[in-house]
Amino acid sequence: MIYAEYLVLAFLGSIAPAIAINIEKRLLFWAGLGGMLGVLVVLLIKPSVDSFSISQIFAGSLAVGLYSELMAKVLRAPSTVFLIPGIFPLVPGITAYKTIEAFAGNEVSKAALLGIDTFAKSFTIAFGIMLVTAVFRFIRKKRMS
Amino acid sequence: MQMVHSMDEDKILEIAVRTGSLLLMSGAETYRVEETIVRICRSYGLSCNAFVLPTGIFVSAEGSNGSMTVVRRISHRTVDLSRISRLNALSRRIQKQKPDYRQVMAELDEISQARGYSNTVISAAYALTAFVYVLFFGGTLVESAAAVTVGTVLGLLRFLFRQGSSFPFIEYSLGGFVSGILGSLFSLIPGVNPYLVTIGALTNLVPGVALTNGIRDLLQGDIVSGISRLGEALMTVFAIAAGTGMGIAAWSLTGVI
Repeated sequence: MIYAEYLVLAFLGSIAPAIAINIEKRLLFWAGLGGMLGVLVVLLIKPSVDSFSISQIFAGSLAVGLYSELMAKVLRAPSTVFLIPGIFPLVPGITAYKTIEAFAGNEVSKAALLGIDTFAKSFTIAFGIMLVTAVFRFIRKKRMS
Repeated sequence: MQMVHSMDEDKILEIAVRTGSLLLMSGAETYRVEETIVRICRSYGLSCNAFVLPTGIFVSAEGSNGSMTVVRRISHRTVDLSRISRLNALSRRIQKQKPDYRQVMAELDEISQARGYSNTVISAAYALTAFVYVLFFGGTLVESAAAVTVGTVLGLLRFLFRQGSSFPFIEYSLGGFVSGILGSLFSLIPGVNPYLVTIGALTNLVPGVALTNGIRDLLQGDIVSGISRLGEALMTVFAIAAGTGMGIAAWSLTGVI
């Protein structure tokens, strides 16, 4: 499968930023796995790596959010530890670079459209995480009361 | 009352505020800091109220000689996830075992001085991030090798600023500027897309922590903290974008591309 390469890249691409924010060594592997899972879901939705669509990113960030909240329970660590590295592979880098390319080439109207695309995709990541966190917090509150 | 449980009220407050400010300086969410301060005070039998913003901590406790207040300004923040989880473990241990003042302070000293990964490893992580994301965005091996150089420079830049940057946005624009110029420099190699190299390296600066913490604060009802953290994330992105734009513009002034 040609996408295996992307899964490996996603794994490494979650581990490396995790080191930069000083994650505990015992959690390093699990943080990488979260990023890989996100990209796996993205590719299951639509097997294309050209530039992730909004629906792909949304599904991916839901998966990363779910994984993080569950692993936080299993490994007794704050869920942010898995969440932050996990969303790195979903960051709309391709759209961002096309935006810069368009700006540098003085194609402002194209750049504006691409800029909105980049912004919307980043917002999608935020919204996906927000949804999962809100649901988990709701369940926890229900259980407490 | 047992001896272990009695501790001067100002010392209880000192422990709580010190733990809280270490948490906040390591990039913990606002509600986590507030909960920890209140939990520590309560463990030693002191009732207190904590109000935490990303830039400061306010704690007021009902002492036997009237109320006591501590205000602690936080000007420098980094992200250190292992420190957060160690402080979390400490606060849970305080709740269960109620260790004495000297013991807690010794442990806090140890945590605040603990070194995580070495500078070399962190620079390597920056380089690896750049390398991986150029390939992930569809670049060639030559392009990702170029990005490794830019990523390493970004890693070194981080140590330069760690000494004391009170205004992190300058750091981010400078990061963008350097990536923009260096990325353009690599366009001299035939077949290399300078923008791909630049973005791959800049993935290192994605404000993931500010974004996730902002969302979590908002959901917790800490509106002020949540909005300011999301604002920080947005400002960071703008700072990087402006820096990158200036870097690319500076390069194009030379007339090579």
